[in-house]
Amino acid sequence: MRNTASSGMLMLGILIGILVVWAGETRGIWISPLVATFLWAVWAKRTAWQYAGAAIIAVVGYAIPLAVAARSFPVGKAADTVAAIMGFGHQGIIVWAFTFLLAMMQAAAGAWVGHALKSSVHAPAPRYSRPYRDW
Amino acid sequence: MKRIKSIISLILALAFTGLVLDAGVRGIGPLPALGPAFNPVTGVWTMAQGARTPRTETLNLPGLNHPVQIIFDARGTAYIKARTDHDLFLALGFLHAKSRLFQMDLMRRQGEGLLSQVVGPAALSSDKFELQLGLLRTARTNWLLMRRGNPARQALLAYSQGVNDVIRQDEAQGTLPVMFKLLGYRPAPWTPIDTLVIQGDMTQDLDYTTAPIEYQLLSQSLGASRTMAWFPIGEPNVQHPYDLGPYRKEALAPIESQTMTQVPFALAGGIPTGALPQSIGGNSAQSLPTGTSSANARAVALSDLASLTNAFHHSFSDSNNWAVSGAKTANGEPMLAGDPHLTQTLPSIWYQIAGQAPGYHFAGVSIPGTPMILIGHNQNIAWSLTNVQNQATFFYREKTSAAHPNQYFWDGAWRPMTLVHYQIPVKGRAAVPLTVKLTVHGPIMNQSGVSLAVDWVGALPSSDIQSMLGIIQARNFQRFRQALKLWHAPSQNFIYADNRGNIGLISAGYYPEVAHGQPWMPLSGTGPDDIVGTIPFNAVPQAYNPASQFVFSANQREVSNNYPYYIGNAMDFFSTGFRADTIYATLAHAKNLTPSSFATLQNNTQDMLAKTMTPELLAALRDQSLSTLQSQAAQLLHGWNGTMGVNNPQATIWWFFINQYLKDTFGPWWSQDHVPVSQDANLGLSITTEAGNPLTDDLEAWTAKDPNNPAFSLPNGTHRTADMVMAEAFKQTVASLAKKLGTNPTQWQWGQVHFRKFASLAQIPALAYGPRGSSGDSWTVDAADGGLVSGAGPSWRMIVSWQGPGKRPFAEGVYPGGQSENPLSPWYENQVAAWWNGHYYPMESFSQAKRQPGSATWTLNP
Repeated sequence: MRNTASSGMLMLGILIGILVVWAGETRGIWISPLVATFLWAVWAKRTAWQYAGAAIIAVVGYAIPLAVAARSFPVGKAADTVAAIMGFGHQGIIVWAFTFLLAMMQAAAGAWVGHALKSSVHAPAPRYSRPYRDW
Repeated sequence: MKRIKSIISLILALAFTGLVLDAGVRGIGPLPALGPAFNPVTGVWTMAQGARTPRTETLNLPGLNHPVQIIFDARGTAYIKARTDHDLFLALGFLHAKSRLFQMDLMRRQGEGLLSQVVGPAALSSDKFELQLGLLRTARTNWLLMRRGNPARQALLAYSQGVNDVIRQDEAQGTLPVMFKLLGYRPAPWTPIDTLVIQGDMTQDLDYTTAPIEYQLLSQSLGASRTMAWFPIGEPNVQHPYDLGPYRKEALAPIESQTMTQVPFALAGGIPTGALPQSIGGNSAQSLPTGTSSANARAVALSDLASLTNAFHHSFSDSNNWAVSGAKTANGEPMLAGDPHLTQTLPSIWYQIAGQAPGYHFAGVSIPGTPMILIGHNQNIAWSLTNVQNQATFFYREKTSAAHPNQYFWDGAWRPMTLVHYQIPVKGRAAVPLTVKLTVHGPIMNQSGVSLAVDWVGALPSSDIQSMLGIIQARNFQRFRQALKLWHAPSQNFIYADNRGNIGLISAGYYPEVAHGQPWMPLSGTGPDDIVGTIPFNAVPQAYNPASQFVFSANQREVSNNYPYYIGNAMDFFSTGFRADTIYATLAHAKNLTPSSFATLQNNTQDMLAKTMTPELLAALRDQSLSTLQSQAAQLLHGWNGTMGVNNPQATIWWFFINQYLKDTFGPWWSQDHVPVSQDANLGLSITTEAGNPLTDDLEAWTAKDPNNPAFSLPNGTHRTADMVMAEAFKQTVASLAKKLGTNPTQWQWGQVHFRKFASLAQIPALAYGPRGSSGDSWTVDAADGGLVSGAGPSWRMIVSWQGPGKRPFAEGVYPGGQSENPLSPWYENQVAAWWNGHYYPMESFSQAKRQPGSATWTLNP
């Protein structure tokens, strides 16, 4: 039960993080993934979850509005055209790459700072000091 | 130990975060700031959303007095219906900005010398040139001269408000056009001065010339005698002036106001604009570097000019308009056509609109950034424009002395120059200082040795907007003519037709006259050669209901050789007259003309010079020994009527031949006399250069009537005739084409070597249209200017056929582009196909548009 509850909290945390990213984007706050993933990393306990969750928050947070837009607008063509304007031919994949690179870099930075800050303030307890059931 | 590791990790994490933020804020290398640019909701991705065509909806537009309706037809043409004139102009500003905000910003930056701020040092020479020439100074003066109550002032203020509403909304919603995001800047608020700068851009495009410098370079190399023989004041070939006289010789009229330089100021509301000068003073600046020779000085000026974007440097002299009375039309009512030839870009220079308000009722095309149509019709009159081509730029050699730094000698005394200091912001670099020296004649375009001040009509305030608003409201020729008295620059041939059976043409604008000196050359700056006035309005070329029953202009000289004033010379830059020949030949004896007849003429690709000179070429070849290939090529030309069709091999042979004929005739002289083509490309021997224009006139005249002209002989005295040079040029042409296109002349189609390309205004190849094999050349009515890859030509084609008093005209038009600047929009280039195929779209009324299937309506609420 505790594992389920813990997983549920993690999912909720990720969902909130995604919403924070989305809300920030719509207001032009492009650093919202950085902020959201930092807060996530401070809140989440395990290192693996800190980084994996941050990646999910940033990527999904960026993907959702694009997916929503793609239902009504020519998002793929926009990528091709922007790539062409930037001098990359009509290689829209590059614009997609830049977009998600931006998300991932922020996720990495946010998670790393959050993790490091948490570690430096509260040095991690020995790995085996916790009861088995908390593993 | 673990804590130390954690702290080190934190430091590294913060450093990495700093790098991420830096990339987000400043970008990486040539990439824009990644953060704002690639944010999925407000970054470049909004281009997809912006591509959507308007839907029927209600929007809020601050500043309106009453609700306004805008209908968009299926092609994107906008129809505005407003209850006050103020609301009409505000809605127009809103519309322009919604569709063309980046174009508008680029155009104002061009004129204000602010391109470097967003594109970097590559635009620095353009910015320096513009700040020296002074479009911004003139625009500010224009604005200051607009008194309260001036309708142009009211229109400009309302229009600016509409533009700023869009800027505010776009910023709030993150929906600024994609180019702002990629270049990483936000548009400054729009001001009336920005509009007046765009007026200056167009004046520069149409009126600014360096022909006097070219005359001087030619005179120094070829000698004065040959220069004036080959580049005469009056064209040597037969042209068709529309104003045949009798002419009036009246005293010169004063030029209303001279260039003024104001101290920096902010508009009411505190909106600053442009690269305002940091300071202005007289005779107080730091000493500036000096050069060594006047030749050096000229080279500097020309290299500056070369740096201008193509869109704003007048290289080509093309446009057509004509009107016929009811005596020549099928329905017995006047009919008018106009097709201004400008650089063809995507987005186009034009935005098509119709507007209704208590004071206005019009349909036509506007220039984004300006609050009115320039060409179109109202309920009573129709009009269109071509360029007059008279001399509007005069160069003065100021007398300076090391003993009198920053002074010049004028009117018997040493005078202080006015020094204007600018700081040009440059993206990624420190601002670049620029000091502009002003004399009584105008800005000095360089500071090297002998100074050349530029006295340009475009630097004078001109009430063009007020004049155009008057035209839009005019109900008859008298009001039309009255409105044109305010028009000073660029001088334009305003053609006219009304619903009461009248036609007319007025070449409105300033025609500067000097009392002394040769105005086609650089003049003395000491006083006697100064401009002393302009041809009075009553004496400028004009016609009203002429006996011929038609009026027309195609940049040919508007008047006969006995016109009592100097208005310009063959190189500055009246057309060769070949388009005028075609129009004249078509209209002179025409009857029962219909809109379809006019459409056929507007899309005519017959080169009249080719038609008249080909028989002369064939006669020259008659006694020549020709190879099989040469005979085949010559055989093709037999019976050819000069049509520059895309599938015509004759067109290819002709075009390369006439260029070769030009080179073979004048090339030896150019080589012997060292004409400085490398210093000034305008002097190159090609039919598309400024020098090539009058030389082609010479060839036409001499080939027909003076085949032994000394110019055909070689400088070493070897005698040659026109026939000999033509035959040799033909053989060279065939050899060259065989090498280029193979040895079957029937396959030398014009469309294989001649293309049109509509470049992106931002010079982005991926957003351009073409190059695509095309018919026409520089001298066909359907002009393709610029050589083998044409970038200029009919930028808008319009036909208006009146149906009688009180009746709405039948009007149609098309331009090679679309209403939107968003490359993803269905309206980005949706009119290109129709334009290319010679088709037109009806110019409808508000109520007609409302009934159209696929139309959408915006209701704008205050």
